[in-house]
Amino acid sequence: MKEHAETTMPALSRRAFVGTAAVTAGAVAATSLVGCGSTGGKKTDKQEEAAADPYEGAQIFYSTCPPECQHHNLKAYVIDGKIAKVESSELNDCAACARGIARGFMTKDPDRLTKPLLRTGDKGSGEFKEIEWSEAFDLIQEKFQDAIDTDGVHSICYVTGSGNFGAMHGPIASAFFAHLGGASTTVGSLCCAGTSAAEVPIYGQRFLDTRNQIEKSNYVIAWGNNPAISKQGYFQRFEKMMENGGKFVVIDPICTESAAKASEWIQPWPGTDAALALAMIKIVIDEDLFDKEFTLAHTCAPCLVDKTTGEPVLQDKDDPTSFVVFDTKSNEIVRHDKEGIEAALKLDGTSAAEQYNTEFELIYAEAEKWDSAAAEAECGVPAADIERIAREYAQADKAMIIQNMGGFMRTENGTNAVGTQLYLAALCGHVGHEGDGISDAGGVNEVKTGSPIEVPKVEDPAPSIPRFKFGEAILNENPLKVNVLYSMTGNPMTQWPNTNMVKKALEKIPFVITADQYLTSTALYSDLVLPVTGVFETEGVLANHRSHWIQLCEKAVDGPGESKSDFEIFSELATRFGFGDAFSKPMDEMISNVLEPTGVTLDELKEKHAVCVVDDNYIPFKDGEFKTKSKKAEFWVAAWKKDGFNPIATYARAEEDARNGDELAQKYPLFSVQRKTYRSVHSTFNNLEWMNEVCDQAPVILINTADAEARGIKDGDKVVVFNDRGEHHGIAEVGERIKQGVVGLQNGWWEQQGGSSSYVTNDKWKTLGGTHCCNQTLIEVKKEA
Amino acid sequence: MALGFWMNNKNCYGCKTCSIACKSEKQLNEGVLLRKVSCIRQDNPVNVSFLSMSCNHCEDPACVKACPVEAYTKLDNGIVKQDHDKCIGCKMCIEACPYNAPCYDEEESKTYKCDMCYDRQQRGELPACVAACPGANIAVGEMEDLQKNHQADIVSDENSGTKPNFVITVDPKLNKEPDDSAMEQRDVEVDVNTAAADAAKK
Repeated sequence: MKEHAETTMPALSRRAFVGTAAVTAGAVAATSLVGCGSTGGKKTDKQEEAAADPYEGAQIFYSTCPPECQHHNLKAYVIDGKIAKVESSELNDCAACARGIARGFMTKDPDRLTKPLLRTGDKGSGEFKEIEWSEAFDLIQEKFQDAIDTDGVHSICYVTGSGNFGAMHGPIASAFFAHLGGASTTVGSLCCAGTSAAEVPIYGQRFLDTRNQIEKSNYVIAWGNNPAISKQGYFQRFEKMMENGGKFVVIDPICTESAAKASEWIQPWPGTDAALALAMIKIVIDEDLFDKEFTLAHTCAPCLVDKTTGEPVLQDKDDPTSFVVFDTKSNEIVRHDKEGIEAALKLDGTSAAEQYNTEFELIYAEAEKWDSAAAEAECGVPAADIERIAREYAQADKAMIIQNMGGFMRTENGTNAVGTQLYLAALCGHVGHEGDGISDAGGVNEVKTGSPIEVPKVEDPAPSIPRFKFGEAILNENPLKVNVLYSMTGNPMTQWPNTNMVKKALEKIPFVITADQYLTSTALYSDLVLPVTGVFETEGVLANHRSHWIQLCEKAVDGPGESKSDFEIFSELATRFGFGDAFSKPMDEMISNVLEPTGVTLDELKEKHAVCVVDDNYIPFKDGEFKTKSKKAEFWVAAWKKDGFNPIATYARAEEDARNGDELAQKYPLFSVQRKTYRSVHSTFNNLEWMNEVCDQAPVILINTADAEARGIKDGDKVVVFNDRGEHHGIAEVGERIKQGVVGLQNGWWEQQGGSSSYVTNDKWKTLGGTHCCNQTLIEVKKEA
Repeated sequence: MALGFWMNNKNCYGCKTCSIACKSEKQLNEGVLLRKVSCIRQDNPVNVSFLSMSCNHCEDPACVKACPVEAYTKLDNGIVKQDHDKCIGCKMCIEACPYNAPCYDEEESKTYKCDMCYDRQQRGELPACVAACPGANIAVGEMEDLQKNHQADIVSDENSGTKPNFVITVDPKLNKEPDDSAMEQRDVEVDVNTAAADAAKK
C-alpha cells in the first residue's frame, strides 16, 4: 500500500478521479464522527439552527429480514401508524443491507396485494378480479375437498421456498398439511443439496459457520461464492483479514464483486471444482504438506476399507464407530481409537495391503488422476496457479474455505466438490481452530428449536415429486396427479430450473393458489392469489440456520388492505376442516414452543428483541472434534454407495459441458452460470422501485470480449441467451469480468421484468446428492433481432 | 474548519446500502437519490471498483451561486444546506453542480440535496449513509482530520473549480490505468462520474 501511494498519485490526478490532486497521509482509520455540531466562537447567520428530530416520539419496533440471507435485525420507526423508516438495529454485529432497509418501503409499496385475486383471463395474462376473503376461503375449501374426494389428499401439493425463514410460515404449512392427512410436496434442494449430502456424513453436521473467525485467518478461499453480496455485512471481515496481511482468493468463473476486492481471482470452468480440489490434495500429499498429526488424530484417513466388499471394516458390526486401522507398532489391525498406536495411512509393504485399502489411499487414488497438468486441462486454471494455491493453503498458519452454499455446488459434481474440499481441509488440519475451518451458511444449528404447532404423524406419506422435473411429473401424473397446488414463501417461476416446464405444470394443474405479498411471476400463473402480510406486519419468531441470533418479529403496522398472515390463513382453513384448536393457539404460546429447546425464554426475547446464541469466538468442530458418531471426519460415505455412486469423492466430466464435443455442445458452445445481485435475495426485493433506482434496471448478461466479438455483440446491446429449454433476455456487459467461454446470468428477475434466467437452466435429476445443476448449463447468445 | 466526507474506494464493494439508507432516512419520493454509487470498470477485471458520492459540501459551492432564490447557504461548519421551503424547482443548481448532487423531485416539483444529516449530527448521530455502510467505508469529519487519517487519498482541489470537501482512499489497482485518453474511451457507467471527469478537465 505504502509503495503504491507515491506512484499512484500522479496517475490519479491526471485521470482526475473526482477532479482533484493528491495528498498522502497515514493509516486508514476507523470511521468516526469528528468535530461536528457547534463551531464555537461568534454567532453568525451562517451557523446552523437547531434542527428538529423528524423521528422524535416515533414508536420503535424490532424484527428481522427473513429470506435466505443473513437475517439482520431491523428497527422500524412508526409515526402516525406508518413506518417512517427502517434501519439496521443496534443489535447486529454488522450492518443490514439496502434490501433490509427497504422493508419500510415495502409496507407502503403501492404494488402490494391488498385483496384476494381470482383469475379471469388465461394463466399468465395477469387478468384477475378482486374477491372477498370469504369467497376465497370457500373456493380453497371446495377445491381441497374435491381433490381429496376424487384422487385423495396426495393430489393436493404444497410447495414452500426460502422467501421467509420465520417459524410462522413453512413450519405452519407443514403442520396444516399434515393435519389434512398428508399433502404431497416436492423433493430436491435448489440451494445446497451438495453440502447436505457431503458435510453431514463427512463432518457430521452442517450449518456451522466460521464468520466469527474470518478476521483471525490469514488465508481465505471463497470457493464459488460471492460474500460481498451473500455475506454482505460480513465482507468487511474479509477486507480486514487482508489488511492484516492475509490473502483472500476467490475461485469463480466470474470476477465477482468479491473477486475484484480479493488478492487473487482463480477462474475455473464451471463444474470442475472437484477436479481442482483433487489436484490440490495430490500436491499436498505428494509434497508432504498435509497435517499428518491432525489427519491421524481426527480423521478416518487410516481406517481400513475391505477390497472385497468395498466397505469400511468394523471391529463390531453393531458399532458404527468401531473402524479399524493397521498399527505399524504391533503390525496388527486394531480399533482406530486404541491408545498408543501408530496407524498407517498407506499399507504398502504391510500384511494388510493385500486385503485392504485405507481411506487415505482411496482418496489419493482419486487425487492421483489429477496431476496439475491434467487439472489445468480440465479446469482451465494454469498448473502453476493450482500448485501455488495448494501450497499456500496447506502451509498457511490459519486457512479457511468459505463455501456458503456457493454456486459451485449447483453443478453435476456439486456434492463431490463439497466433499473434496472437506477432505482437503481435514487433511491439512485446517478445521476446528481459530481462523480456520470450512464455512457453511449459518447459523444456530448447535441450538435446537421446536415446532410452533405440533405436526401429526402422517400415516400414508405421499411420494415426493422431484422439484427439478416438476413439469414432467405434473404432465405425466408421475408419481402422482396434482389437482391443487398451494405455493407460498417461494417463486417457482423464477427459481426452479427450466421455467417453461414449470409454466406448463402451472398451466396444467386445475387450481393453483399462491400466497404472497406481490403479484409474483408464480402468482401470474395462479388461479387464486392470496395477499399476505410481510415483515413488521405480523408477529413471529425467527430461529433458524443463517443467523447467530434468535429474533422476535414484532408487528409494527397492519398489512396493506385486507392482507392476512400465512398463519391466519391456515388458522381459518383449520377451523373449516375441523382440526379443533390445533391452530387457535395464541402467538405467545407458539413462539414459546419454538423457543423451548433453545433455553431462551419469550420474556427474555421480548426484553432484548434478539438473543445471540453463538459465542463471539465460536469455532465449528472445535479442536478437531467432528460431529460424526466416531467424532472423526469420515471420508467414506455409505449413502453415496447406496445410491450407486463412488463412496469416495471423485470427479468425472459432466453430461452438459461445452468441451464434450457432442451435438449439444456444438449447438450450444457456451457455459452459463448464475450470479447474485445487490437488488435481490433470490427473487425477493427484485421488483422494488427502490432497487430500480440504485441497481441495474434490466437483466445484465456478462459476456467475455472474445465471445462477444465472435457474435457481433457490443457492450450495452440487447441480447438473448437461449438453448432448447428456453430464452433469457437482457443487456450485454462485454469485457473481461468473466472467463472466456462462459456467460454470466443474473438470478432473480421476474416475468414482468423480462423473465428469469432459469428459462435456460439445467433440470438434471438425479446427480450424486440430488444437486441442482443450474450452473451446468450450455447456451448460445445472440443480438436481439 | 470544514466538514467533509471520506469514502473508501479501495474497499467499497458496491452494495448501494448508503443510497437506500439515505433515501429511507430522508423519506424521499420515487426517483430522488441524494447519494449515488457508481461502478468504475476498467480493462483488467479485478480493477472493478465503486465510488459512493453525495454532495461534496464544496468550499466554493456552485449551487449557492446558481440558485436564484438564495435557497442554499454555506454554513460556518462547512455544510451546504438548502432551505427546502425556498426552493422553486428551477434546477439551476443541478445544472451548476459539477457532481450532479442535487436531485429533482418530479412529484413535488422541487429539488433536494444532501444536508450531511445535520439534524442527526446535532443529536450526536452519524449521517444515515455513514451509519448504514456495512463496510464502514464512508465517514464524515473535519477535512483536516480526514486527510490526516486516511491513506493514499485524493482530496478536492482547484481542478473542479468548486473545491469539494471530499477525501477518497483510492483503490491502488486503479493505478494501472494508463492515462486520460484511455479513461475517456472506457468511461464510467453513471453520470456522476462523467460529470466529475468533465469538471476536472475544465
